[in-house]
Amino acid sequence: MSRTRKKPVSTPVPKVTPEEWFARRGWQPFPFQQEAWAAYRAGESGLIHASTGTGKTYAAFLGPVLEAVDEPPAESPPPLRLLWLTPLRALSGDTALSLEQPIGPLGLNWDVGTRTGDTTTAMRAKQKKRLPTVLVTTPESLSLFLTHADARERFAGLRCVVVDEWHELLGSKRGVLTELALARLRTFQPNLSIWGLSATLGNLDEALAALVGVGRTGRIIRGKIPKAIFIDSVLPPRVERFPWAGHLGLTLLPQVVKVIDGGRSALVFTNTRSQTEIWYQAILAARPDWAGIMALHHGSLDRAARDWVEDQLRAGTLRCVVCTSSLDLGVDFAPVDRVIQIGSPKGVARLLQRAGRSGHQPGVVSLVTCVPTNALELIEVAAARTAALAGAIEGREPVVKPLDLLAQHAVSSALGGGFRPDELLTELRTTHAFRNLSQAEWDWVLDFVTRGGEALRAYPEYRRVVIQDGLYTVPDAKTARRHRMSIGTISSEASLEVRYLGGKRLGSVEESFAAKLKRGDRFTFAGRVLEFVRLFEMTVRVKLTKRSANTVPRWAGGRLPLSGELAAALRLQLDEARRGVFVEPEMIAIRPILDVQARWSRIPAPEELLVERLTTRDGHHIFIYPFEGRLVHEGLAALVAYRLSALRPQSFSLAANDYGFELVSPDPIELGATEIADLLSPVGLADDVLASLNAAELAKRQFREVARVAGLVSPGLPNAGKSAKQLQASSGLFYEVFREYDPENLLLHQARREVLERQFEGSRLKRALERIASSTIVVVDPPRPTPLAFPLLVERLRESLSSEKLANRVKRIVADLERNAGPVNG
Amino acid sequence: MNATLELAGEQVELRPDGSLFWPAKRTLIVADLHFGKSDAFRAASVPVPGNADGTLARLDAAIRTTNTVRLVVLGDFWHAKEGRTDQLVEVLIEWRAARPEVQIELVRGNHDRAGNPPAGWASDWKTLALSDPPFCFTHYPEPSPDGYVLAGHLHPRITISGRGREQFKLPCFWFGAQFGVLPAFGSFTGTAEISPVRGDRVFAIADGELVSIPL
Repeated sequence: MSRTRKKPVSTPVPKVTPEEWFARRGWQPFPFQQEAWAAYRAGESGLIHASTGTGKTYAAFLGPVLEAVDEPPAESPPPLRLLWLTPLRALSGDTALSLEQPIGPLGLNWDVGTRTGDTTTAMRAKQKKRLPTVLVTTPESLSLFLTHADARERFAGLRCVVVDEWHELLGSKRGVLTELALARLRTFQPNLSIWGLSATLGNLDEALAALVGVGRTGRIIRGKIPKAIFIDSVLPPRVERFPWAGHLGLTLLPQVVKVIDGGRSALVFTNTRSQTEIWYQAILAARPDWAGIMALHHGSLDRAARDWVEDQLRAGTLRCVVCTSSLDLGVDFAPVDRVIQIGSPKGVARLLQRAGRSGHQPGVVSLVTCVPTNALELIEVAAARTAALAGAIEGREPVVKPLDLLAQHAVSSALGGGFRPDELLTELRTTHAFRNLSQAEWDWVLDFVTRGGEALRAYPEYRRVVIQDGLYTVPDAKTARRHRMSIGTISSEASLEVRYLGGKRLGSVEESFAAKLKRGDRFTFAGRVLEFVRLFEMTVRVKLTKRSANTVPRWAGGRLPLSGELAAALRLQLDEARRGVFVEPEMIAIRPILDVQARWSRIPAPEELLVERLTTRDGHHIFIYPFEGRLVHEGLAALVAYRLSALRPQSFSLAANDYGFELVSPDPIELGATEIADLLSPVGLADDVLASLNAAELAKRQFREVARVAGLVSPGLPNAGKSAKQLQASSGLFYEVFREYDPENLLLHQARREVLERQFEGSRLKRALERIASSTIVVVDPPRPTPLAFPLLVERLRESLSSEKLANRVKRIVADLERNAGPVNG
Repeated sequence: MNATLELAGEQVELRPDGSLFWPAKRTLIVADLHFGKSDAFRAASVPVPGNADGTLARLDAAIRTTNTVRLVVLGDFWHAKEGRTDQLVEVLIEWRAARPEVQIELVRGNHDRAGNPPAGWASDWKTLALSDPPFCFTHYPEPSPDGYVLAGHLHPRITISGRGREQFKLPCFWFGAQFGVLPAFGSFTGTAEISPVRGDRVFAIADGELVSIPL
């Protein structure tokens, strides 16, 4: 839904000074805001960081506004002067509203507009004639603008770009997409000033460098000191009955309802969309009287439904909203006075961000109540509290040199009036992401977008980008259209609309979930129980049912790993427990479980690495607990399995969680402390992890995103029709075909590098191994699965790695199946 | 290593390349070649390498080892119109011309609206089922009164899991009570999971070997 904006009033409004305008609202400009305004007037760029709801928006916006106030009044709204980039298109409407507020009273004849994927055709047509003075848009929509030849002309009056929630973009390819667009805008306007707004990060200097570009400087402005934040948890009433492993499910529901009841309006954050649906149903079942005054909110719901929820939250009419990170960002919901976090937040910054969504009334503190979904998460809450007090906040590592995105950008640039390689290379090297781009890499990308790369040498008829007199362009209209549709870096599974039989839209589910639905299946969605009727033309048709659900939609989307800061704090909590020091209430609650761990095995000291060996019906298990977060553990598991299988042919399946990892083999794994130390040696890490990938097939999976961004795989377009259907192939097939015909394709290398960095947090993995190298390895043979081991035993997602011949492994499985099935009965 | 089995009273051989050989008639049966799939991507400016060479080489090897006199293609010879390039048609005509002794019959699949068969392969598609008792060759796996159906279309795949939670997804042959489905023979073709029932016979292709999967 896009909101239409009122035309600016042309009759003169009684003009006020900025001080008066603030005073009328009972505000007093903060020193950091005044610093930002002065810096903007001095032509500087910079990064303003503070928690939400502390006036960052006006700190960035009023600089350009005050500049205009001092100019002679404009007859009609001036051309585009300020671009406001927001990571979520859902935020654009609210942002535009708050930007509009000071304009009229301060006597400016400006207009404010939005441009996102949701913008109506009518509005687009209007904006084609003239862009508003202030345009709120997303990185993707900005990149789309830049694929048009008239972009330079349309942005001729641009003076300032503000990147809102820069921390959200920074660690992803969307951040690089933003960097590339900013570099282009700087080419257009060398004096452009660029301001970023960010939550507090562990690496602010790097965040600033990526924002302003190579060779430019900026100022870091620290916002208002954050208000006090209190973190507590819902503790199980009787500790000894606390299930020490597995999921608590909804057992803490009564306490959660009580917390909601104690406030006026609560946000209940869960970590996944599925959990949102489950908790919504459960809370409603516990308090049927809240029907109509509670709601749910997640990214797969229809935009109109989400807008309604946000409006009601602001109006203070809702008792509670169950949501995902979809409500992490955005303008304040002043009435919210309770925040509940279901499951571990997995990071200190995220918990603080969510806590900051409550307590916006003067003199009120922010309070967040954590609800553990398994016992061990209690330790994470205690750790998060101590880390937050110590100010140990995560950084976001900017993405470096994604060649898939560079290929996309090269095609975009060819569309936008064409480019000359040397000039574009110079521009590219002003971005943080591509500052070290080599000529050879650039040549490869150019070759890939023009001739399709080395492997397509035999197909001279192939063309995407065409070179004419040294200018790279895209002459084919179809190629151009297809490219514009696939701009961006968000690679999500194709999603299907969910609609009632009557046609009303409810939201979307992923194709893989829809494909498994059978007629009559019932699932909870958008807070209702729906019965699946049929799948027709990319739409899931459903009807309401009174019966209970028998399946839950699953949305892909990584579970977040425990952050480095939180992991370090967690190891400290465990060490205190080992020494019998139990201070935090959560640690006191979990003590009986830790006692079991200590009795059957051991609680490791910070300088120890705990290893447990166990044999069950599933096979021979080895559990190793570095407490470094799930991704690092997945990397370690692949590494250990690879190094083991290099010694002798053996198959493993692997499991990892935030605390450790497990290797299971049908054959005995004979390992002592010395062998484990060798297996975990940091020497040859990158080679060994990458070598292990061929077997573990992870790079193939990572290639999905690379193939999508580089324009190999089309995003699932709902109305693409038959011709698009014939262009569907899984990224796995692409991966195979490139490996066969073009093994040196840099996109394959990138997929492997991304696996190392992103799947396994490569640099963190290396530091973990270095830490382990100086640790003492303690091997224990517990009598049964310990509290630390049990969650790994039940972990579902598994990788496998083997040096045995595939056929042999299959035959062994078949032999097992035969044996279990008993005598042959035909 | 081949697997031999009895189907509708006839001995047939399943081959790890995905083809089925019927010795009594010296007939080789393959499904879903999808020629021109990578060409179709290239035509849409998607830089996919690859050509028909791999598929043709495997077909050639199968014909030579089995001493085939008749080749039956169970539909989806082509992938898409955009991929039916002059260059590809030429390669296919040449390949065919070099093997005049082999009789070829092409059943029409849903993808074959892409265009006519290349010269020399067949004068036209067999649009209906091709009856050759006890078998009936079609593209779609549906029961037929004319005999035991051998079909393609599905690109069948089976997932098997074992101890230590190993899991594999493998292309397979799938034989039910009334019809059997062959795996896709062409390179650069995907697969789709099947749900066999008790009594069906499934043979997975793993590393050049055929493994009978107990259900």
